[in-house]
Amino acid sequence: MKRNVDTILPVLVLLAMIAALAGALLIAPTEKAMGDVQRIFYFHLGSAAAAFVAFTCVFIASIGFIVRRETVWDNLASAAAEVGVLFTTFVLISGPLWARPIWGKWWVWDPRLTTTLMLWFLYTGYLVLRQTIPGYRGAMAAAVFAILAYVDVPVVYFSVRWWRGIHPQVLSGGGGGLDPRMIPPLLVSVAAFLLLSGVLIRERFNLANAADCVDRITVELEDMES
Amino acid sequence: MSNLTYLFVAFAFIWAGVLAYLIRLSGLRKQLEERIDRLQDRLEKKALHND
Repeated sequence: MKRNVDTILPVLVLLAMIAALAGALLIAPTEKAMGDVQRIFYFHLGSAAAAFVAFTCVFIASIGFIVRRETVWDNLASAAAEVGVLFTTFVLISGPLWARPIWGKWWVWDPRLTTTLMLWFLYTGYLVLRQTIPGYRGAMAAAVFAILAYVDVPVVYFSVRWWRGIHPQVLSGGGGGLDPRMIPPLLVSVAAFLLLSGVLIRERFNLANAADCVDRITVELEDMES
Repeated sequence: MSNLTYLFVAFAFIWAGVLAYLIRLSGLRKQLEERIDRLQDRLEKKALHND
């Protein structure tokens, strides 16, 4: 069963990626004012959705670790944090690529951009913390840090409503003016990114569990030999 | 190159990078699983030997 899932999931991801690319670049209509550069949006929003889901997973797994004190929760949290940072990096790269021709600047200190950059630093900090302090103490410190860092996720989402900025409000209300024909490719793209992030978290989580298992058996063997 | 071709190439590169990362993770996990099997065999043999 597990082997079947291991084979099917990457194929599904590949098909979803192809569908997302076709949807964003070939099927979605060209935006009147921005032209083709608007197509970055499908990639940008998909990455943001995947990052939010990954950080929510870090938050839940960190609570799980604090409550249950089991390594699997810590492994899940660090796997999801790594994937979340990867997708936030995509958001921070794709955003300026769109902003340069539209706003005339690569970067502005808009609330949405600033809080997203903070999010990237917070979870990169989490990964550094997790690597720096080994063992149970490190896992506990990282879990507490992750729970506190999660506060920034709703702040990023609602920043376009709470503060005046120039970032477009597409999904947070306020009339983003999204052409209805753009919605199906957008949904396919978001689904593809969510599937991809799920598969990446699963692989990274399985890898961490396998590494733990190797360490455990090695210690047992050393105990037997000594 | 038109804007669309440029975007297509950029997206395809990033997707390819992510796929490569996925394949690398999968490969590392398989290596570790094989190592676990070998270590478990050694553990069983040691346990039998000690008995």
